[in-house]
Amino acid sequence: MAEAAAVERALGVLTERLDERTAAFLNACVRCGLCADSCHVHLADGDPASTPVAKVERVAKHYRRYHTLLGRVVPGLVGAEDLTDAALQELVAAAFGRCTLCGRCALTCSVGLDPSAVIRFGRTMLLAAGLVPKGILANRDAALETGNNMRLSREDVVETIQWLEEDLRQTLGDPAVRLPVDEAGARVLYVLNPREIKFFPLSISAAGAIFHAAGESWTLTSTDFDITNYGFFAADAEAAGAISAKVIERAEALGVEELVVAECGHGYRTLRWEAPEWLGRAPKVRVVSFVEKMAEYLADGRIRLAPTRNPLPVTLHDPCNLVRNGGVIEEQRVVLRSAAAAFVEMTPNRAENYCCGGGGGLLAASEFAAQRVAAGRIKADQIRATGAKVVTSPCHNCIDQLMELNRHYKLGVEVKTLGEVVADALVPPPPVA
Amino acid sequence: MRCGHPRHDVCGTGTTDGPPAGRPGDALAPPRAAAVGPQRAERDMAEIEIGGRTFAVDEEGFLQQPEIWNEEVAQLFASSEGIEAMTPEHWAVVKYIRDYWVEHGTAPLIRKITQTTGLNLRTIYQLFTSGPAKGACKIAGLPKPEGCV
Repeated sequence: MAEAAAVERALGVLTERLDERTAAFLNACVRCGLCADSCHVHLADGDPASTPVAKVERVAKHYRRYHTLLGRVVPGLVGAEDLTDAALQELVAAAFGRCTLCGRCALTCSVGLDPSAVIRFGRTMLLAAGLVPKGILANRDAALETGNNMRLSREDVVETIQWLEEDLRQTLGDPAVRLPVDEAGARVLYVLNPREIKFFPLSISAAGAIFHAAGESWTLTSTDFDITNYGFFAADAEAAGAISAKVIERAEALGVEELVVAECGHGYRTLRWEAPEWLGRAPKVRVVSFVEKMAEYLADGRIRLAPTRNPLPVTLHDPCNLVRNGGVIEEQRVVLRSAAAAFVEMTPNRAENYCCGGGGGLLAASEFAAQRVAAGRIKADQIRATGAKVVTSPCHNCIDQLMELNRHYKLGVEVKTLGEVVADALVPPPPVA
Repeated sequence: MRCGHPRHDVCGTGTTDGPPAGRPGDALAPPRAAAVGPQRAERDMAEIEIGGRTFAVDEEGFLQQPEIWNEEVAQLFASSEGIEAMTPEHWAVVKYIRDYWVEHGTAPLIRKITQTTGLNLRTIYQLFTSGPAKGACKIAGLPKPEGCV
């Protein structure tokens, strides 16, 4: 239950911090409803409250009340409503429970607005009211306090990477393979999702094998390596900027030319596209996705792949923040066609792909877990229709949701990162003379 | 009977020496656990029934009363994860995670799990198809770990 002061704080955001773009969107929506069937949540639950237009309206009705003349004078006639505690509770359900900010609705909008920008603004109001789901805030705070969202220590990182390096040397039978850490002078800094260190390190080994095969000069970092950004999901621009700044400043301090972002949709989007806005400057390094990097190595002939080593049919899930909102669309396809014998597209795909259901920070918002899995039915149906035995996605967040969908909907597939698929197909480089 | 754990009140081995003072494990839990745990419990409380017993869990099925955990509870949670019979390998992973959490208030790194149990990384993923966090940690009666899991 939000207190009166919390409602006041949310109202303060609406009346004083409304940006022109969001205000234009709030004015422009004609409530035509064309966006309804673009949304995976609405397709899954059929509830009118899940349509993008209904979610936008949760913010717009208060916008009209406090920002328009008719809304102030005759609110009842123009659908304007006071911002109340009850309204904020409904906004939590709309802006988190029913929305992953995937942005698919923007493709169908008849007047060209981006509903997810309005819903994100709703999240900023909820942030002021203290109503953002606690799991999202806990991850944000862990990153601000310790430099990563799982509170990993420097030793945790270093010891895990040393252990992985030994294992990788044995697996590849190549004692020259290295997983370098904190090496100034490297050309590339490769940054991670902390869950790779803590629970799922095979993707780090895969990246190491690929960098080694490409002959890249690269390094990992034991501090400020976390590419996730729960400040972004909390719509907390200040925290989001601070979190992104740590990673970019670490790359600049190491003096690398390129910051290569591991497979994480929102990590790429924030570091590549949002961070310059938050920092008020361009990074001094080139920010690039590991997906783009693999495509570059292939195009330049720096890695060779044998697709027969991945004989099972593979399908690809496009992460919203990397693809629709990040612009990395064809590279993963180029890579997969070289890495797998049978690559099957799901329908729809590319920028029109459906969200897996776990975006927008929802994986950390336990209170919406049941809704998250239910909304994932659209993705599960898409996967099943391909007949693929392997699902790959260049996003650890999507991977976690896909693993859960695999179990819940009994899809019987294997879920892998793109790097793992590529590493499995690597033709070892000729030994250095 | 005491097991020697600093957090014996929640470790699940043997019996406790009477009701713990305050919330279980408060004194030894890290600040994060103390600040987040109880709030989550109040907000997300739900119940599931497994094998005729009812458990308070969060919305993702993680046990909310860590002090009631024991091997029987682990077996019941395992069955709800699709593991019909816990093998010695399952137990080695689950008991290590449990002991580590009792001592440190957080789940161990997968590196420590493989090095302590001697099990191969891929074997652990096969043993717990929901993964180390949503599978093994849940069976070990831990709250949901932070991060993208």
